[in-house]
Amino acid sequence: MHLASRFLAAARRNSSAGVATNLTQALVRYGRDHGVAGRQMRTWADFINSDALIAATAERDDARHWWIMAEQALRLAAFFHDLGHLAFSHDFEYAMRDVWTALRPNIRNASPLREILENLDEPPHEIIGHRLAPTVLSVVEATHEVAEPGALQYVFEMAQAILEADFESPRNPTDAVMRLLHLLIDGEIDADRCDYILRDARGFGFDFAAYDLDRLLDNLVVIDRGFKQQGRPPFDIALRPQGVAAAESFFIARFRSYQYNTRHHKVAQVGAALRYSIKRLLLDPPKALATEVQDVVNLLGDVVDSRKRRTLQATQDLLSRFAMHDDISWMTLMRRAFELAPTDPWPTVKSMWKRASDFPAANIREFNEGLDTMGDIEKQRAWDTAVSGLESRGVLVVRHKFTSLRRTTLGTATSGKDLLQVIDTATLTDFSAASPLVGQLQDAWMSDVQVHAAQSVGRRISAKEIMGALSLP
Amino acid sequence: MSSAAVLTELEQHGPYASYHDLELACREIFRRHAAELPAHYTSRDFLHWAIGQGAIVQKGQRFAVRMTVPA
Repeated sequence: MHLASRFLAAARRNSSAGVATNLTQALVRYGRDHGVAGRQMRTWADFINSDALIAATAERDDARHWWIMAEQALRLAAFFHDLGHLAFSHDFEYAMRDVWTALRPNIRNASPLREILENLDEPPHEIIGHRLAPTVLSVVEATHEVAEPGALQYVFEMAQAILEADFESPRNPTDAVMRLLHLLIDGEIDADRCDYILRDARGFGFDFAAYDLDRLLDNLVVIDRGFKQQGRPPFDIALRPQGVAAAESFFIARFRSYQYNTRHHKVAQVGAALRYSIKRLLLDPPKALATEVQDVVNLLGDVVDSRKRRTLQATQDLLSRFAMHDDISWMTLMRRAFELAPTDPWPTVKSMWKRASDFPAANIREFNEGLDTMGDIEKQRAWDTAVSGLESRGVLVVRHKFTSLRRTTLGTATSGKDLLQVIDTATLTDFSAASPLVGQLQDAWMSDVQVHAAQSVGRRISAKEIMGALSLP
Repeated sequence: MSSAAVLTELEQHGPYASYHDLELACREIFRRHAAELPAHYTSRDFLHWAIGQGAIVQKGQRFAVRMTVPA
């Protein structure tokens, strides 16, 4: 069963009658804002309905059809959420952003990647994924006899609205319900995290990354904060006290998975080398590969170009070409680039330190606290300059960013600070107060390696020198 | 573009009736000045920093920019 469906069904089932009514009214208002009334929605819901859609079973007859459509849209949003990922995923995106800052303004303005990279707030894969949704819809509509094309259009558009509902404080009920659905696939406890933690655990053999998904889902609940609490969504996901133990295991599993997966020194080393190699290939490909690299850049630009009118064949061709842009195709290009420059000094890098025990600073916490204060533009820029300087000397730096439990900057002693809260009767408590164990994870992170460095073999820069360059005032 | 410059632009269009309006305004500034900002830094990073530092303050439901950051 689709995990996003289970999330919605569970959270809805546990919510109070009053919250359920408010949610349904918000979905009705969304429908009316899009010119769709109840009778039409019933017809569409009958068309869409399948045994796979479960959230509506908790609803009264007069509300069920709105929920059927919302659940279908949620599942589509979950599908499109990561559909736009590029070859090597986050490493390719990171490299793209580095390439962007290296380009001259006139080149940037003319670049097919402008629409993707001018947006600092949205990761490239999300921009691409959001644009893929209407493209896929156009192909489905053109190639299938759909008895209710309006229904298809409605759920695709709602899926896009869900994907784009990333403002922290929506200001009206329709935005608020879209934000809630967004949180089910991108929140503190969401379908995406729940899925990949367990899947990665199986794939990597992490016996420590386990938690009781069923118990966790059974204790999620939608709450209605209203619109007065700024910095928090009006409709939100909270946890019942009976779910605290399962949530504890979830957060610990996540912490440890990141520690031994993303932040493992070998993964960091390879990631740094990959980002650098991708950047070089994008910025300065060998002559023999220039056209093929430009084809990839043009492809990404074409995917997000909503102004271009295409025939059905051209659209299908575009989707096929995008599907073929994967790890293998890009790795092939990188291998060919290496074969064209076998004496390049870069291919072999070596980690300068691996674990907290050999981290070259007298006090790792002090170093990490210095990183933590890098919140403003100037400090971020100084960090980027330091990293760039080291790169020119043969050292690649990776900074890991991690938050065990996110907090709102607008929290108060009364309203709490954690984005995830536990609800007991009508009282909300920060999850970190209910689970001091999870509350301590952020502190544990401050004693962990947050920066890795890898040096090109043959260079002779000491770990101390690297730390000197990275220790900004 | 500097933090002070972003705050100045925010102040010019403020005060803000809600956090949502503040978010919208900050995103728009970052969109317009993307080329002058660090590559891996979002408007949300900036807002969280500014609020944490007291450069943006909440008064009831409204938000205002305070150009002088408290020591």
